Amino acid sequence: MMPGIDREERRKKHARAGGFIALSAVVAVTVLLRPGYQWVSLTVGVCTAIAVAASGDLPGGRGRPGPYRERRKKRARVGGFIGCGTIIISGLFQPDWQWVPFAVGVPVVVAVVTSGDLRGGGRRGHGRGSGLSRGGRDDDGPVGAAHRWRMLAMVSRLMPGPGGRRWLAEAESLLSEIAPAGRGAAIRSYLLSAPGLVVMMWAREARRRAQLGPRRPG
Amino acid sequence: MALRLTVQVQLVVQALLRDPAREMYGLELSEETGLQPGTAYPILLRLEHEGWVASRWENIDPRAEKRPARRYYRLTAGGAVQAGAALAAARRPKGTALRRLAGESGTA
Repeated sequence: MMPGIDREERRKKHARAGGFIALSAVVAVTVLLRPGYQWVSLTVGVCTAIAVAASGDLPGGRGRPGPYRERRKKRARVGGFIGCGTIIISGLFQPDWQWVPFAVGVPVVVAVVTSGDLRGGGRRGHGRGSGLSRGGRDDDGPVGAAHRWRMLAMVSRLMPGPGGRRWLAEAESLLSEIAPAGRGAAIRSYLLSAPGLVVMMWAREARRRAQLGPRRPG
Repeated sequence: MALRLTVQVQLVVQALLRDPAREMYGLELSEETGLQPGTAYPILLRLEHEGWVASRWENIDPRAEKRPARRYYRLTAGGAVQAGAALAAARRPKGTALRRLAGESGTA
């Protein structure tokens, strides 16, 4: 394993272990200080916390391997953290309604602060933006390329059927032959010209349908 | 609607007119004109709608060639004539511009 990846993995494991310890501490304090009917939410919270802490090491799963699945896993972990945090904190403050914003707010803030790598290495923190706003840079790695590729496929669905399929097929053909350094700029140019193209294609399609006349039943 | 001969359209038409019988695919056209492929595509589509250009998918086995099929474009017979005439008209200075130039030289 490469040293960089090893360090990254270790950092993630430490973060998960830290989160698990913190959650367990909250649960223990709650059980000691407020015994009673809260056991339901506490049990659910503890189980979820354990699942979230362990989920990083779970192998396999459905879907394509690669950046998509990694991102989905991270999102699931953050979502799980918010969920179990909410349940545990609600166990602490059940008698009054004031627990609601606190129980939701704290896990969200913690999740947002600790999930810097949710979008692939904390890009936001380095001011790189996302999608089309990345002024001409092509070094955005497989996540950025996959993201823009998915956008091309999505945009093609906005066009009339055959036109969209042809546009996507031609883009795919051209991008497969273009040098990797220029691929990002080419995809961006396709995406930037897409709105005008969508309007043009639908205007043409509307004219064609108008010429055909209204459909007769039967 | 008549085709507007913008600078980009002129570049694409010029590239195709260099050898009207030759078929060119998107990347080739893009390299020759200096336009991004996403910019060249709508122009080619408009030229095709106007009947100036015809296109076809390359007939290959993508697995054997290890690349997807290309879409080739070429000027139609009528399109070559029309494109040549339109390009010449676009290069000709407009009457108003000539009059303005004449006026400026008269006052100077």
